[in-house]
Amino acid sequence: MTKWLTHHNLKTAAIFCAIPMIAAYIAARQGYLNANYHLSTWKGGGMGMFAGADSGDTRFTRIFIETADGKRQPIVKLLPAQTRQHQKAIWYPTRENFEPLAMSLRRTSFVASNEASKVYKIDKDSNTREAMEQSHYLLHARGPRPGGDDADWTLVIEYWEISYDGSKREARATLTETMRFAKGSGS
Amino acid sequence: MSTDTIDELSPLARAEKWFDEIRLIDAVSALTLMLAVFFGFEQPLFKLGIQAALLGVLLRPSLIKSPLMWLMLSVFATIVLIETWSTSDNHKYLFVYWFWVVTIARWVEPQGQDEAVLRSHARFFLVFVFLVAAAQKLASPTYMSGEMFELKLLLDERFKAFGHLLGIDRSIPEAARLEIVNLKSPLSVYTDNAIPISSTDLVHSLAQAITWYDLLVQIAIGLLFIPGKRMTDVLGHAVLLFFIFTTYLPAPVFGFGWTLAIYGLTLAKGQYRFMALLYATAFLAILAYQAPWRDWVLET
Repeated sequence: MTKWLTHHNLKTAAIFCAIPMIAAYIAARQGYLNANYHLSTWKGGGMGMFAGADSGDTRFTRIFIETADGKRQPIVKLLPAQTRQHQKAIWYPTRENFEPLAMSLRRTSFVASNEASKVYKIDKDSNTREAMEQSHYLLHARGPRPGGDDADWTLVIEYWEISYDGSKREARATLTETMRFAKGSGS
Repeated sequence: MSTDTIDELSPLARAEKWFDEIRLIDAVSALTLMLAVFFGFEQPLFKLGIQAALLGVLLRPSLIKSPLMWLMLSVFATIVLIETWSTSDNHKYLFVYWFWVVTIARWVEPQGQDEAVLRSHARFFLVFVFLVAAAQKLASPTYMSGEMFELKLLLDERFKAFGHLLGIDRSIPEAARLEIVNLKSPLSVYTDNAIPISSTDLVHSLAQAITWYDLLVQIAIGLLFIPGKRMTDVLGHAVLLFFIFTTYLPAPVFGFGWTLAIYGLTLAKGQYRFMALLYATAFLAILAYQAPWRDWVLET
């Protein structure tokens, strides 16, 4: 054993180097998760605050109930606990992180708007609006489903990111991932 | 200075004398405890722990020297951080690391190594935080294009008052926010999923200026604290103080500002008296920045 590898030296090395090494490891891990799994630059110990246009304003979801005939109705209002689950998942948008929200929504009853709302196609240049054939009943979460049974429909969570081109002054939304939670898909 | 002349000193001079005489580890411990009380985690485990520690220190001030108390707080903070790791802001990680640094410093205090532990870690974190942040920015297309700060000025409610002070009309961010809401709506289908945003040349230019200022100042701080020489340290402190005083007025990340001021003070105290006093002022400035000045600006 070399002379320098004494108990005293090891203790000194641990005192002075352990925390920096842990911090460096966590930062490297954050960089990997950011590059590969969309973990926000603001979160996770990577020190990338203000390093990317990657905030709550530029990350969003569209959540739908999809019935067997393929029709989709958007959920536009969540319960407070579901809102917290959503806020947590949006910073690290993996299927695993959205699963608690999805399972909660599958056991939720909803109130639908009285009338279907038209979907409009909007031309980004002329800003003209054209009503499409498609329409949606907007769903508001009301509370737990009576009996708490798992519903027959499929819950679809679309995770989107917005980018912005300053030279064109144009924001663009990109569908990054679609997660489907069918009956019996919960863990 | 003899004791009979102390009473003749002005309150400010007395405060300076007290500040000069307080030991580094005691000053850092008190400021770290304040960091935890003012800007710590909101989770009940940590809040209960820090409130108990604060009460204990108020009743028995020597408790702040206890490595066990710091160990308990470090463990609580670490548990909360592990539970919330993917939603915790980066500066919350720094906060937990620093708790462990104070714990170790208190542990090795009887061997006289406390100052070395505090100073070496403060230097490491100043270099680490700013150079890693700068590296992330250099590697980020959305930062280097100015997109990040342009969106902050347009969409982030916290930057609205700052933008207004810089001459951005309030109607611009309001319109931009509405456009983004429309883009997100399931009832709107935009061609190519794209929408024009109400920005202006002023917003774009300001975003570019802030982008380059922020990047260059961070690289400068990180590099200046590497050599550990007098000249570079003095310059590093000057730039870091400028950064703290200017950044945390518009950017309400006060816990991060407080943490940086602790690092700076740790390196300056006992070495550069004037800088150390400026760091002490920086803590007061960070507290003052929490005043609702944004509401005052937006009401005018």
